[in-house]
Amino acid sequence: MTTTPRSPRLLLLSAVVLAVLGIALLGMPHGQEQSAPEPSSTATADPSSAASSPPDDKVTVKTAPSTAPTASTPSVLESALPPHGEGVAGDRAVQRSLEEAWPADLPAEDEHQLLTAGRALLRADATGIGRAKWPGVFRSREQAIAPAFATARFRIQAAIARRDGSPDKAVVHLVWAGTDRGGTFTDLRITDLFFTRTLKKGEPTWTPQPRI
Amino acid sequence: MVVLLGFAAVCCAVPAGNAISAYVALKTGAQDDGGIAEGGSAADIPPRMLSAYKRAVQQVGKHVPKCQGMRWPVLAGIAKVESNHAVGRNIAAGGDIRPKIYGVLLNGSGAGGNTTVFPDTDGGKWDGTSGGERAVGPFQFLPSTWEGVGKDAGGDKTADPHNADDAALGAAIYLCGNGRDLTKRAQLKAAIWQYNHSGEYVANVLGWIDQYTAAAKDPDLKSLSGKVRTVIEAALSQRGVPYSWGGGNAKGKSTGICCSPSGKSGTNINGFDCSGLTTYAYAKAGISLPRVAAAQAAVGQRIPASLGTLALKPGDLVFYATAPGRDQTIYHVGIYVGSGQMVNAARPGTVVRLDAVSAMSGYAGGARLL
Repeated sequence: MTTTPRSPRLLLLSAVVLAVLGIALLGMPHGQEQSAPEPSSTATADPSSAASSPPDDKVTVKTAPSTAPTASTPSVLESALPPHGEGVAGDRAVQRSLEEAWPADLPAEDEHQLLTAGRALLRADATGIGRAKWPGVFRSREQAIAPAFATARFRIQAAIARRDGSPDKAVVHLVWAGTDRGGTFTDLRITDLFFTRTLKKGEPTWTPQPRI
Repeated sequence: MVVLLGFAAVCCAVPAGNAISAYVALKTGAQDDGGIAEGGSAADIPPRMLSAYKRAVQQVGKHVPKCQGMRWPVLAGIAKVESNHAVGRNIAAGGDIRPKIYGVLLNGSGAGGNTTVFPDTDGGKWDGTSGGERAVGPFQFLPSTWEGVGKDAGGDKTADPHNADDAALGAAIYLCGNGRDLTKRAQLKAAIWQYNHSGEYVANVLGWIDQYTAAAKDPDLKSLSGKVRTVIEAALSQRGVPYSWGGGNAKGKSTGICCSPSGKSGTNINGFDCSGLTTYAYAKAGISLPRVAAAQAAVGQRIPASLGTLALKPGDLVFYATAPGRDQTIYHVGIYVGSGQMVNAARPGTVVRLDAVSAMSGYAGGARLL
């Protein structure tokens, strides 16, 4: 249905799945059929050649274009990530895609510590909440706090902690949403916070790094 | 965007850094929940406010002669975030804004996020209360800050932070400091940082400045030719067509599929999703694209995000990712039309339209196929 199979076996499999889906798929609007990926993922100025050429090795498409759909959602969109405005429902997919695209490379304990710190630090910077816990970062406590983003609707959608070039450097990569002072809500905002491992009272700990 | 750590403090410094503001929470400024910083153009700004910004740019040189690079988009970026340009207020011909705009009382109560007690400095002259301090006007000056930078821009001999002209001039003076060159990104960041000591605030304001800057210049479509023109014209011809999850293909708009993660279905919407639109536009030039945004990033000449958006040329695909540099996380694609703008199908509930490239976080570079 959605693509040209790579083999008769896959074609047969696709046919079986299509039969199971039955009326549901037969009743699908033409848009679904039209949204099927081209046999070749490579852009070409000649569609006819694309239809006859094998997939280009350099194209690493994760859309499983030649496999049969396993659910009512066509395979063509299996890798499509949530667009803006999806709300909490899309956060799991964002988290999953980060973890798949950027494999874990830190000991679990370090990762946990970094994620906890990174989340708290972002919240403190954006909303002003919890800045007292970071005196080395937010120094002038006598200054009034006017948060850049409201606490209401502030949400960290996804977060990962990964090594940053050396065992003693790490980055916490956060995807988040919030409403700014003027009332504009934005999501899928990206922030990278960088840390180095330092000794604090003889114990190794992760310390946030200045970026200015 | 990268959070700028290691800063000296929170926002609204008083004496030395003395910046401004407390959370305004203007209900009039509330926008939709689409998650995109939409509307970053001059049309988004009340005309009287825009004229105040432009007047301030003309006047700031008298007060800070060494200042370079002050532009109205810089002031618009600040005012957008601080008060949404006083939208919903009445702005008199002389620039007075009513009702007056007040931030939360900085009494450490936690309301509006304020956690620090801030003693009164003006006896209520500007903030209407002698019981404490709160930020005022469209640029959300703290009264103590205003005492240092407030100037009369309108000729009435009174420097009033609730007057659009005076407030805009005061903000321009404040941002210029002792003579910054705001054409330099680092100095522009430092100026915004002075306004509010938050890395995310700086990133947010910069995003709006970039949007206003981009929207101030129309793309030069007349000079386009060949396939670039074909692709861009094809995409622009679909402006107004609704977004449809899974919709669109090489032949044009189509009904989509069910469903996005939050359950938004395209089955009853004849339109495009982001990659459906690009698929259609490029097909008009005889180029077949894979169907999803992430896969489209694997074709053509990749333009790394590290080169910045200035490396883009009209007709390039423009990508957005939750982890730029890792194309598997690309979630959106548009077509660059020039002047910092792209044509795209942004999200469910919208139509095919022009947006600033900086309207979304996570710029992940481009791809050149033309």
